[in-house]
Amino acid sequence: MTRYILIKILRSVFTLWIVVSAVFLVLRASGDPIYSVFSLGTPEATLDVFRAKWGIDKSIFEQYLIYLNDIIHGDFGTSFFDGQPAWDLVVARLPKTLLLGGTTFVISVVAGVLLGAFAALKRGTFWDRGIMTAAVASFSMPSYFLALMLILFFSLELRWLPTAGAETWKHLILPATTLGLTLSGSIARFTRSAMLEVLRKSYMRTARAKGAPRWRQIAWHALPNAAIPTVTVIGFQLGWLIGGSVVIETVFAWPGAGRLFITSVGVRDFAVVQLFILMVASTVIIANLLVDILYGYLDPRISVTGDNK
Amino acid sequence: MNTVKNYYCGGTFSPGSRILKSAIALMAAVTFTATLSTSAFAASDDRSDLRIAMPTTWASHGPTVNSNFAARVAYSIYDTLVWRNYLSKSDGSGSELEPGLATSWEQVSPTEWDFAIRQGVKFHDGTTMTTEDVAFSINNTYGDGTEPFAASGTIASAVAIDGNTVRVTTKNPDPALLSRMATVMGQVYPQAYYEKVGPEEFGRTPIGTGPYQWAGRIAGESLKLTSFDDYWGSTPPLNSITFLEVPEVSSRIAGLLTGEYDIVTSLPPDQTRPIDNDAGTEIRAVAVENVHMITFRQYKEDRPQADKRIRKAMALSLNRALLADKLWAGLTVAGTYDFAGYGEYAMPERGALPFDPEGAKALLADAGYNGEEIVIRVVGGYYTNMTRAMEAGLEMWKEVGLNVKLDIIENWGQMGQEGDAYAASDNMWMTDPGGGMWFSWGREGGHRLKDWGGTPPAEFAALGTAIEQGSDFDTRQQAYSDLLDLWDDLVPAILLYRPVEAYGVRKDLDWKPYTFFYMDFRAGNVEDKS
Repeated sequence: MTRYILIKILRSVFTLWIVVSAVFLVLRASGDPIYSVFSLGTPEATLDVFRAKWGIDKSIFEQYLIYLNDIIHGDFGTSFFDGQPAWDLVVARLPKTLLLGGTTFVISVVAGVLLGAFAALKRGTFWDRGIMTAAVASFSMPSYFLALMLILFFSLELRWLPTAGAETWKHLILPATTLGLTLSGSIARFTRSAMLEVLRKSYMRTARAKGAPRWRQIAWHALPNAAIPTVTVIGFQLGWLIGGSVVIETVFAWPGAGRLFITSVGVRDFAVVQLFILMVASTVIIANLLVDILYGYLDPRISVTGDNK
Repeated sequence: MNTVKNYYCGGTFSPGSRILKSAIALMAAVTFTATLSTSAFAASDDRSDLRIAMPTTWASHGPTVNSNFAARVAYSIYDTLVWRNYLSKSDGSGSELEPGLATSWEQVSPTEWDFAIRQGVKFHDGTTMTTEDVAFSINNTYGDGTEPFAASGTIASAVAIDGNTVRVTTKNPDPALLSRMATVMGQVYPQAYYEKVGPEEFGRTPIGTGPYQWAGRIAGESLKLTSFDDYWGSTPPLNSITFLEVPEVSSRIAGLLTGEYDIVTSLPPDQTRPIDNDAGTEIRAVAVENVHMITFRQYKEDRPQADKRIRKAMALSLNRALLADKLWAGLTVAGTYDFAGYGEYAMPERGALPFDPEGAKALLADAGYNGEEIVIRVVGGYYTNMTRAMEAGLEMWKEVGLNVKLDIIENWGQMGQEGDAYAASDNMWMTDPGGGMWFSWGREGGHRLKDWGGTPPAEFAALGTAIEQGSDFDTRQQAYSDLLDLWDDLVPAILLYRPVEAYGVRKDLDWKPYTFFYMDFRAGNVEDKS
């Protein structure tokens, strides 16, 4: 098991290095940040001072070595635009992103698993078809569009909820619901098919035969066995969640890291963009690592196979 | 020393469910920001708390920051020596110059001006403004070296003569000095605080003498100003002003309709219908003192645009009146560098720039234009309507045989020196023809020099200098008229139109937009009738 996890961690570090290097190169190939901050025609002498200050006067290879050395030492650079350490800027935005992401995640997992399991148990009925239709609709509808529809209905028509911002708990409802709905659709579909698979297994017949109550059959025997594909999907969705929240944060004026990212890409604020991508990549990689480890517990055969290799 | 309060503290996030509570427990280490309306600055009177939604807020509001979004806010933080009364014309475009932080002024020699400084004016930190602060501010702002501060560049020094008077000495006679002192150049801020914290920190917690004081900013969310009750002028009519960041146009509009915001800014003119159709809100739009333009890279000598006949043909064949009307919902007109804010210098009788496709064809034939491609670079999405204007322009140019191609790029960093022309804009900066085109193309420190290909002809420089230093009205106006003629002949850029700033406003809020990006919430321009 330890070796299995170690290999996974090593692979994760390698992946991270590839991501970081790719972002570093792409950013520098797509525009000079100096003109995002200074207007055209600012004296060259002034620009040179700032190029030196920001370290973009050196060759790309030198910049790359300095950058790698800095992040190893926990220095993520300074925002060109704001003059503050990139770490402070991104971390200041994280609570709101985590609040939105966390709420969304809980909503989508609870709703997705419950509805998916319910649909499987009611297979072929009106409930099953209804839930699955709604699930397909929710994940095929662009989240941007869904967001505007929800604002139109709950804010403009009913006047129940605020349109945008992050001042009170009410402001959280619409963005979290938009993201949560989109995400729960695919979780529900995967849960349903995994449950259907499990319900046909002989151990379910055994559970019924030995007279286990219905709730125990489902909660004890069916759900844990249906968990592996569902956990995989949820792991993948974490990455999607961060991508999706970038759009939703903009529509709902939610002051999270996603919006900071959009602004920073626009002005080529290297340090902030690099740190953000590094964080997203780490989140996705860690989520997948956890999923892998969770597999080991859910199905010990997986890590055993790993050991044999 | 700095008594500017911070409104981040106070208030709690009070979620209704257990799920939310646990989510918040996770991030207990970081203070979750609170309800702005129930901050430490709870209304102490019945004045309104105004909420304004803008696409973004700026981090720095220092005296030399030059961004439209910072300017909207900074206008309430700082006062200027001389006050431009935009309300001296009913449409908010007035250019009367009146006493501001200076109560009077006198030109004591061709190059020396004495300003009598208002006594007993308080800064937001409670200290009293002195003539030393005034002299420091002018010298410091001018010394910043970036546009428009350096380009306003006629100042030699500002010195406090005594406790009442500041003497500004100019390098040459400068008839537009008062006009300069009514721009950001004339803002006054406390020397001691500025020197103590340095320019960067000053920008993050600015202090001026204006009617509203800085109360803090939450990055990505909002910034807040509160009434400065020791203001030297009339009591500020609002208790507080919160500028909220709402990047999506549709979200800003929805929030105005639901009453969450009192004013929303930066609305594209073609998306104002929901506000027009709503009984409680309306659009208030102004054409601002700025002009959109297509700037030629004249210095590329082997390219078609090096020939002024071809530049002129491109300008003549573009139906600018049509573009102005259709793209800006009839709210603006085709632009020139002559504008009403120049007061008595303005020459509206010159009329709009001509649209003459036949004349354009004749010029092209005369120049022997062989259909060579002319590439215009546009930073996509930077200027409202620019891409659409250029797409329409391509068809108009095609009509007269011009082969023009658009090259849409993502950001200014990609602009470089590629292409034959590029989309840009220019502010008029001040109520005197010594700003505008002379600022931009001719004057040392103006920012278009390099990109427009070296120095303009000597004649242009001579006329510009005559405007800048001319001693009497007739000389200056003649030089200005000649400069406009020369511009029309040389066509260093195709002038398109004055862009429109459209605000959505709650109907029962009396507030008038000015013909610049500033938003004025002083007594006399805002009254909440709700």
